[in-house]
Amino acid sequence: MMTSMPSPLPPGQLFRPADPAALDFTTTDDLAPLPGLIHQPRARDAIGFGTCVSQAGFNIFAIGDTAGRVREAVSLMLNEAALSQPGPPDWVYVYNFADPQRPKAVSLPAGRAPAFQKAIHDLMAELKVVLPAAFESEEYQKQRGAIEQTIQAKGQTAFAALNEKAEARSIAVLRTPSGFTLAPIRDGKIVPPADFNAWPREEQLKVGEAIGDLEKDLEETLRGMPRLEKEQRDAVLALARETGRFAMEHPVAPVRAAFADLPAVLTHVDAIVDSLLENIPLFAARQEAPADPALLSNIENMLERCEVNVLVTQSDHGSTAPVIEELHPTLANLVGRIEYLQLQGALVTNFKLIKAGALHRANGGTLLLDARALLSEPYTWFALKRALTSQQIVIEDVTRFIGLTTTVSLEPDPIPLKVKVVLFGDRMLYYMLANADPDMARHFKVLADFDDVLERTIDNEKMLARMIGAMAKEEGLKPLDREATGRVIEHAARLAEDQQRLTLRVDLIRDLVTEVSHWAGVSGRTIATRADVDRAIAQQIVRAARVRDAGQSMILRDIALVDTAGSRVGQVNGLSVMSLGGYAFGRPARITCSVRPGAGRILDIEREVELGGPLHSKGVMILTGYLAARYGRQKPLSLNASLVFEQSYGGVDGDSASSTELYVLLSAIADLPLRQDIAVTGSVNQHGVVQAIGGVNEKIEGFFDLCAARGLTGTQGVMIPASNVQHLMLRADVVAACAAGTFAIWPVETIDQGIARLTGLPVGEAGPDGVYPEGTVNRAVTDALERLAKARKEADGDAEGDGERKDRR
Amino acid sequence: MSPDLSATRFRRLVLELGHGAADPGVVREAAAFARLLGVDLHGLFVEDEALLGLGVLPFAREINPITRRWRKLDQDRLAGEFRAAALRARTVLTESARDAGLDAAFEVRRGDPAAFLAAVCLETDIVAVPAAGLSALGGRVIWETAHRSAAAVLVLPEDGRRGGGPVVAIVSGPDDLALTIASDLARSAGSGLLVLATHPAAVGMGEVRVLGALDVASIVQGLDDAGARLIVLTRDGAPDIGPKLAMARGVPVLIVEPAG
Repeated sequence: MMTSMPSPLPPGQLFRPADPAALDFTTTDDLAPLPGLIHQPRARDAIGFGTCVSQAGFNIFAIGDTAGRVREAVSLMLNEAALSQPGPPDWVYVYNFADPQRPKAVSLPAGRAPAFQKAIHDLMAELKVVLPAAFESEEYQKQRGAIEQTIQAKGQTAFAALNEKAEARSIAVLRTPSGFTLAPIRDGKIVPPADFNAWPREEQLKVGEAIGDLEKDLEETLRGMPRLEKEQRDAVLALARETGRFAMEHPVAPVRAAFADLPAVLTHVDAIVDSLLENIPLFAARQEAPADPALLSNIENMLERCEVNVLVTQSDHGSTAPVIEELHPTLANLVGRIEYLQLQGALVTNFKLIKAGALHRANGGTLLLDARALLSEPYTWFALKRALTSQQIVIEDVTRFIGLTTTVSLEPDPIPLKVKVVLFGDRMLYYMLANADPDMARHFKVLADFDDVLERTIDNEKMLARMIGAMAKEEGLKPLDREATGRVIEHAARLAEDQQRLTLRVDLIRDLVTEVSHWAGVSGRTIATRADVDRAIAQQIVRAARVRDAGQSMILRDIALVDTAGSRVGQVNGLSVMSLGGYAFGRPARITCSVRPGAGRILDIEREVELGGPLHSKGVMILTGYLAARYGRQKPLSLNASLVFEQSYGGVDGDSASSTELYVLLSAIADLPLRQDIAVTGSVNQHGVVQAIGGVNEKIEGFFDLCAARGLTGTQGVMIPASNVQHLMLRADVVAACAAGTFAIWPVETIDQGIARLTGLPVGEAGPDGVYPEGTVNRAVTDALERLAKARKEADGDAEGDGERKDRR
Repeated sequence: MSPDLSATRFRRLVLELGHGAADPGVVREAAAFARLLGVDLHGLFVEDEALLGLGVLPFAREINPITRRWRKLDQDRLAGEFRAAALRARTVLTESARDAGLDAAFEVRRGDPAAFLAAVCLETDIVAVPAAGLSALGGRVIWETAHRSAAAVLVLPEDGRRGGGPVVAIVSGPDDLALTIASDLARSAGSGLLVLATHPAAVGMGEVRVLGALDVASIVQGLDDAGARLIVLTRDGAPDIGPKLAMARGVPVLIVEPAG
């Protein structure tokens, strides 16, 4: 059976224009806007399910081809869902009077925390005035004076009685620099020792006896003094507390009334009052030492610790559940942090320096996190899992984990956590994480997988047109006419690399529509046209194409060697795709092959120097299988071959050049020249079937640009796998050249079709005797293999002979 | 602003610091009044020779009021403690005078405190004595000495409460010097003047409250709820009325020599 030679593809198969039936409008302003997320039924259902199930673990991991697009889509859906969910409570931290190292968390109904904070702040400001005034009042001073005088009088009375008793026995109680002593007196004066010694012995003994008795009384009197002092202190303190309680009653009453429905708040207000009463001597002492800085500082500190730290409040965003996105999910930004102040060289903190994290702000709602950003930050992934497991937010200080700080810190009350966490990221990251961390499945049970493309039907083209119109309106851009819209739809198919699909990369479409509007404005148009879209696409390429142009320039200057005319043995034009910063372009490359007698090994030079990836090596190994299956069934192959991508200094991967390598291998074996005006792409299996590859449009355009630069000859073209025809969305200039017959795209199904096109010879089929006809590719190959086998055999015989001669010697 | 009386009547405020008057509160109180009166502070510390001599008596011993332990009254140790007490008294006086912006003098003597006090007191002096401790022999002797001298006497209550309230004059007639001095002090301090008198028509200044008699009970009753920053009276009345008023009201009492 003769191998059929496929014809060049007609222009209609090289590009699929937008369906006019989808464009029944004048400009995109005429189109009804497209609300919400375009297409994506699978992801929409997953997110809807995830947001409805409130049980632990039903958090969402949203994935797509890029994290940015997923984020945008998820954010849109979550904000819609949040509108129907009630707002969560506010949270505040207050001083823990029983255990100052453990600030207390208090929950208030949504939006009421600021009012509580203000009420307490105003109360403290009022008490700062009211309490000192109470102790300066005449009434307090009188009562305190009365207490002190009463108790001091008791002491003085006791001393007066002692003095009286002593003087009745002619003894005086005298004060020494450090105590009291007793001495005999006469006429109101101390008896000098000389006089005393002159007294009769009996009188001296009598004095001694009296002093002995009075010493006991003095002891007893002194023993009573501390008791009196304590009695005075207690009485004054009780008065101060009573005065303070009375002074606070009026200012505190409105606070209690305003929060009468909140027992936790009332409990804290009671704790404040009790604490102030406990420390009321500070206010009382201020009256006696109004300028004492230490005293004033203590009062300030005491009042300040009664204040309220609003950690999170819903007063900012109404009564709906919050949707919080944390763009920089460090541990501190996620679970909150405790800040420090430097005070005289020491780091100090208090409950007012506790700051909320994203989990606090999202508590009761949804937290949106970029998975890659989360995993890039130390400790955060584990902290998030701990929070989800324990269902509470514990503020963790990373500096303490790693021993950077050893100062006394706080251990704030954990706050109960009820949050829906939505991670978004690219697919690769999700699969890697799922494989590496078994906990992920426990915490993120809902997968929302965003499609990258949608089927290209008339309805979907219409939907895309509405989306384009909505984008233009949302962004304040110029509307597009129907031709321009059609061109954007066609570009969406090119981005999908498929005539039958449209991309869902909304971000790329939005970028294009934005640029189209700009170029329309530059041209002085209020409505964008197809020309503006073409210009926008062209400018996108121009901005990104420096590397492409540099590569082509090197070929045109014969620095990088690629022929586009003539025929050569063991040399063929392959095509590769380079993707740099989101821009992909095709690049022709020369692939060469050399053969020699050997043991049937095909040497992949790229692999040998570690420039070839595993997929490329696989493709080369398939060649061995193909050769053996077609030409080595009767006897082993006796050749060695070397394959190389010439002037390739970067890595090569993928098997899209395996058919190309097979063509050049056959050429080298059979000594058959290959056409250099044709470039080839496609992978191949062991049976010689050419298979689909990626980047077909870029590859064709890469070779076309080179040929066009040198001048199209009319014989040039590209051979592509037939299964890639459905992916063709080629540039208009390529399509035009093909239509004019100056360039061609040949779909190829088998290696036989391809080698026939490249050599201009029939492939040839074996006759009943197993021999291929003369003048065919297969005959040339089998003859060459015979020669190589013979040469090898002769070489092996010579080697053995050399061995025998050596033995004889 | 200092009152006129500084130039005409009082020159210094004398503090005997050897009998418990070196208490910082008492000294600060005295300094505040010295500033009010526009006079200098003069501290006098007398090491009581009689007390020092007791050390040779076999039974003489002293008790520490804090530890309530007895120990022998050793003469040498006692002398050392007097010196230390004098040093503390000087420090307290100097600091209080500095804080009040006053000049201060301080002298240490050894001998009979009453005799030294009597010797230094002039008509232009005010002798400050603490009300507490007047029942004891030492304090009482100082009080009696001051009271007998030509100087005025300022009785300072224990733990007195400075602050608001009028200057109170206890007067027996319009020519009572207490009224003049109280009026001057009230004006100087920016305070009100409250007059407690038995003959109101003859006074003619300040708020006047009429008393049936000028004894302690009547005065306390007459003061009623009025606070007082200082009570001024003449020495005409009972000798112990000043200390009793100071103790009863917790207010300093200035006792001045009657005019003429």
